[in-house]
Amino acid sequence: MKNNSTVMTIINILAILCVGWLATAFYKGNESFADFIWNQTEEFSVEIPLVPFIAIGLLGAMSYILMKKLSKRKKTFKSFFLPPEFSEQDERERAITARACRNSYIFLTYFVPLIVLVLAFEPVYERIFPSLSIWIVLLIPLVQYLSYYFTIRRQES
Amino acid sequence: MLIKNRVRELRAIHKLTQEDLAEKVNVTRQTIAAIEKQDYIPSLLLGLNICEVFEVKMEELFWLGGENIEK
Repeated sequence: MKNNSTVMTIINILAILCVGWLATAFYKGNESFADFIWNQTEEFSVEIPLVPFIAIGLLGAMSYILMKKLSKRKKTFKSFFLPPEFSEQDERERAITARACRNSYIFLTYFVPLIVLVLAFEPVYERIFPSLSIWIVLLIPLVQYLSYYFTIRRQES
Repeated sequence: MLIKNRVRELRAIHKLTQEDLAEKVNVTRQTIAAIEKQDYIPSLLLGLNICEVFEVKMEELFWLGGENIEK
């Protein structure tokens, strides 16, 4: 369970980075699109990098293969949508997962308002790093995954 | 409170591996290991299932004793 969750957490973090990369590219493209709408420019161009798309696809495939290989979870339609790091084969694993979800919930309760407060500083930082808000929002799933992962590790050791 | 048990002892008497017992009571081997190390307190259902495998009464397998140190 511990080793599986380490691999899955690394995959999740890499996926967050790819999403951030992709969203940043969209952000830049949308600046040109916004000019087209509001400043009535003649044309606009949006460049979408293929690499993060491919990386997300590869990570998704890797996560699916690992889940099929390592997880003894029943293969139902519903279970397909569960995060791959969830391991609930018996009552002990369900208890550990429940505790990890509880900790994750507690962390997010305090972390999300903090993130909202940081986002309120957008007018200050947007001149230096316009798409920083995207990365700040992506800290939410990062904290969620890490608090989940460290609870699992502590419980399993 | 800590719940102590004789799972390891009875498993040895019955010549079962952790994997065998886990399969019989439908849990993972790690759960049996955690019960034996007294890191995990099994549910009443799992406890009764283990008792059934060893053909003993609950009080012969599990009993209260000592203070539990929370992780």
